[in-house]
Amino acid sequence: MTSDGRGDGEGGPERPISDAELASRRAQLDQSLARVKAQREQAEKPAVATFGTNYSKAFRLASEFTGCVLVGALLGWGVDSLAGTSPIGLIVLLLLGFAAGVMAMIRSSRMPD
Amino acid sequence: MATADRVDPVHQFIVNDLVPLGRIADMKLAFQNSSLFMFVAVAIIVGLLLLGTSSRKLVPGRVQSVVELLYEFIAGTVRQVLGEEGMRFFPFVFSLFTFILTLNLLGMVPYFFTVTSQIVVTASLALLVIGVVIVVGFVKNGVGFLKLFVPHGVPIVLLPLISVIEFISFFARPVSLSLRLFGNMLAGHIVLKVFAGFIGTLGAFGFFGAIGAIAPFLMTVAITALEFLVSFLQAFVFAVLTCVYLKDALHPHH
Repeated sequence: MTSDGRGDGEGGPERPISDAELASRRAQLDQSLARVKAQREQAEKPAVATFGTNYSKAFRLASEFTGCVLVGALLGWGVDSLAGTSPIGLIVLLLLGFAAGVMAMIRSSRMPD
Repeated sequence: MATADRVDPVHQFIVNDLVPLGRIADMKLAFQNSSLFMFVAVAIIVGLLLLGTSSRKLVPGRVQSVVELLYEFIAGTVRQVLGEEGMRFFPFVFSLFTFILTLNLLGMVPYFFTVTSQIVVTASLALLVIGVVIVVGFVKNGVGFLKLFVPHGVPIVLLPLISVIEFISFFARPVSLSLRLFGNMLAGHIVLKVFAGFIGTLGAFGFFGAIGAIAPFLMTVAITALEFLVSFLQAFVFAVLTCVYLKDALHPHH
């Protein structure tokens, strides 16, 4: 310790470490922390549970998409039989059903578990 | 081969009339095996809850802690999604969750009927949910509930298109809700039956067949574990999505 003016948190008397070096060290630390964390989570979760959760998530997305397309087709069919515009309503609303299905899937995949 | 003919994976889903009750118009009315299992499920739930809450000790016993766990679990979920004001829907969500969970778990007992593998049942439950959402939405917000179909920040040109898409995705909710529960239970039980059927079929081929039957046996064990998990998860997903839809009814602004 050479001078009293220094704070407690400062480093030793060696040459100052450059910012780039610090950044690279931090990145390394982050990487290894993430690796260890992932390993630990992998070890804690039983394989069946992980598979079951993913399975139910996949089922959720699939059923949402199917539901939207079905409802779209049904609405189109209903509009057609009411208004007598035979294929047009079915085609348009089926396509909109596809769009709604994709939107619903995106929305529910953003939702936390 | 006689054994192969007897393995019928969808035989378990046949609805039988136990007590015929006459007819309404042209429709047959009967007390069926599905009705029986619904009554059994309700009896189990009511019995468990009564047993768990009868003593009400400060330090809970075994049954009481199961009941408390169940309550805390659903109450936590409802609070997390709907906030404190959503606790008025707690009885609804709790009933749905326990009913579906008990039916799913009853279906895991060999020779028992899986009520949730009937799309009529799951669709009725989903229609109940969406009916509650619509009624609550209109009672709470009046015409403002229709804002659900008009997300803000959308240019006026695109509005008709987006509204139709939102409309479709709203009415797809009960469909997907019922399809999911029905599909999960149906598929799981069929797969379970098919793999279990392989064991018997392979076993009929003598020694080497019996050795070969080890693989489907292990598969059956694994799928049974998975099915228990799916039973629970699907009941939970149904309850959570009910909460999410109710949240739209309370606050129809995206």
